[in-house]
Amino acid sequence: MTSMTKLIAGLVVAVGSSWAAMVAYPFAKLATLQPEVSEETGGLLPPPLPGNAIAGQRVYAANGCVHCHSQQVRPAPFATDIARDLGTRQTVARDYLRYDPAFLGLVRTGPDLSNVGVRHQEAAWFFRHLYEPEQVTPGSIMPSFRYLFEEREIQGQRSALAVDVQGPHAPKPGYEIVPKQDAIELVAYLMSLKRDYPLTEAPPPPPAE
Amino acid sequence: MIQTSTATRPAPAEIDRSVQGTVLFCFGSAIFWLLAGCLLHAVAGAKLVMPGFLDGIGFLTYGRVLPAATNAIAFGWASLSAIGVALWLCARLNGAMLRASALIVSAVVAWNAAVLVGVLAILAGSSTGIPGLEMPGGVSVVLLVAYLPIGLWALSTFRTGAPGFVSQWYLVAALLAFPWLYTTANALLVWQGTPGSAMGAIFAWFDSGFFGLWLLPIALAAAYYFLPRAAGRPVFSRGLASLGFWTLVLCAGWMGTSRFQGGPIPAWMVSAGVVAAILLILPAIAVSSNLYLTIGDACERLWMQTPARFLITSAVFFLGWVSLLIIVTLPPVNSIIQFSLVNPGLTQTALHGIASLAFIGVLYALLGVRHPESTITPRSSLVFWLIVTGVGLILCASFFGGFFQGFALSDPIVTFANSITYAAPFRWVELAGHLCLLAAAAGLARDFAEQLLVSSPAQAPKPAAAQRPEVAAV
Repeated sequence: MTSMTKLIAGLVVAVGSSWAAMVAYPFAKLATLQPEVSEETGGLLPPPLPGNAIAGQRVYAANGCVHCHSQQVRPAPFATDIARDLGTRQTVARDYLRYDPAFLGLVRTGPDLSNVGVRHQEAAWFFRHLYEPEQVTPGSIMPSFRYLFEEREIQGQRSALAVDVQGPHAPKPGYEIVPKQDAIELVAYLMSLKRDYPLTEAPPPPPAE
Repeated sequence: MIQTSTATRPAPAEIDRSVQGTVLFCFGSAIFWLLAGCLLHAVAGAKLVMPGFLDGIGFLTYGRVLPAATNAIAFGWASLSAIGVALWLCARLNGAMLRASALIVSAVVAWNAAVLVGVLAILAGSSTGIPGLEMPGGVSVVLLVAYLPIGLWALSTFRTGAPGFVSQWYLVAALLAFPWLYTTANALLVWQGTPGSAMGAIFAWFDSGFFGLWLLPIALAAAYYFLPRAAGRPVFSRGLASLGFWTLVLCAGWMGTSRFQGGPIPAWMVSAGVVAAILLILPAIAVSSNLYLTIGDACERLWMQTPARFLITSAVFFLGWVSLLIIVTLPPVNSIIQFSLVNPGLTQTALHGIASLAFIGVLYALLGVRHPESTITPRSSLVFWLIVTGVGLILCASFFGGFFQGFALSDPIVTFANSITYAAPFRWVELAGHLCLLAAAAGLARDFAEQLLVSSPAQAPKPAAAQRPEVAAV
């Protein structure tokens, strides 16, 4: 056995061990997790995503939302995520099986979005927040996603999706701001982010005394 | 294609001439990407402190500009200059002439074209959304195909002899690790999706390996090659070198999952990642002490030589980076700073403080073959201090700002808006750091262009490095 062969064999063992543990194992185990059947409703947990929400993952990816927003609720007492109302329980692997990719995120330049669909249930709030974040959340440094909307002349009645713009980018008189398809899909995705159902490995929290 | 037998080993000057054009082409295009990446990073940094800056424009939104910057730096600057370093060191250490330079240059052209398409695709809104792997799947195919002749040629230079030099171990590790890492990550995350949180673990393995098994080994190969030679002494201890090498290749693959503490992946994977990150102190101490003991009292003399100054500082940053990484990986600390400025700041420190400094040091060594004057010049000194200042500012801002932000994010009675306020002054400092790096890139580009124009290879004096370059390891 030459020293070159030994070197390569050693490298294969050293790197291969991490490959087996950190790539092969999660690919075989985590990526094949199945949903649970709810004892209460008989439905699947986590629930299937609506079509628009599935498409919205592409918009979330394209605009790099993951570079500011995490989607992980860490357990107590390790972290204070639950005390900060980011969720009622920690997020576990099964929570993400409907998502491809799962945008776990590594920074919180913006707030965690694991349960943003629980915190806000009106699509109008999301549309307006995407269009003029600083007006909705004073002090926010989130960029405006105005390019996901269009300004158009009001034809007859105002659109049901028209954004109630109040800031400096309000439309001209007789015009309205409406979301493009990308914005509609992105909001559907954001509204799908609800990890408030019970799972065997992540039961609901005990009732408060 | 190559000529390596001992009996017919070409003269080092001939070897240098055979690879010089190709390596300079790698570096030239890499410097373009360094400029582009630093500019994009500065724009992204400015958008965080002035949200109205270039706001509301799709291709300039923060979430597109930032990954465009990181991909330009990772695949354009760092990887291309790593390839240049690897080609030169493989040729010199193994006595191989590069006779297929047209093929390698074509591969580097294809690599550049792929990175250009990838960065533009990210800006245009075709990102995959997977951090570090945002370029579309077609781009990664081209990068892997372009890497094939480069990697095969570099590895084929080892066919005649045992890898007896420490630098050779690191080169073999990096040349084999890159296709392994990049093919695995793309196959499982980009070309076909992997649903669920498995993505997190696979991404973490790739991300820590991309630096720890690809860029860092090539930076260390350069340090082990040039510093003993410049000091005129053999590597102090082969045992320490061996310890440093094997602990690095073992830990670099395992440590990635330490970033998911409390996250949705099995606890044993996170624990293994934390242990591996802590054990990274072994290669850091082994490498830095070995290099320090090798240089010994020649340190002051080497400090006045451009390549050595960059490489010594790179090794110091390696030790500093690992020390800080261990502190922020410890669970009580990590629970506070996990999602703060700290981790992106440490990534920048590793990329520019360790890899960029080492690769630029090698570039100056290559330019020094054309200009044997090795004393530090005002221009190279300026580039050096701009990088050190830039990395220092980013590191200080991310570390102190990250802790402020982390405490705000952890305290249930502090609002999220306050965490933004606390981090804001530090983001300005971070932006200043990125502007320093941009100025360094511009200075390097000017230095590179001027030195190439001043002396053509025909006019170049006899290369200073006419002997076997690395003093044999003990």
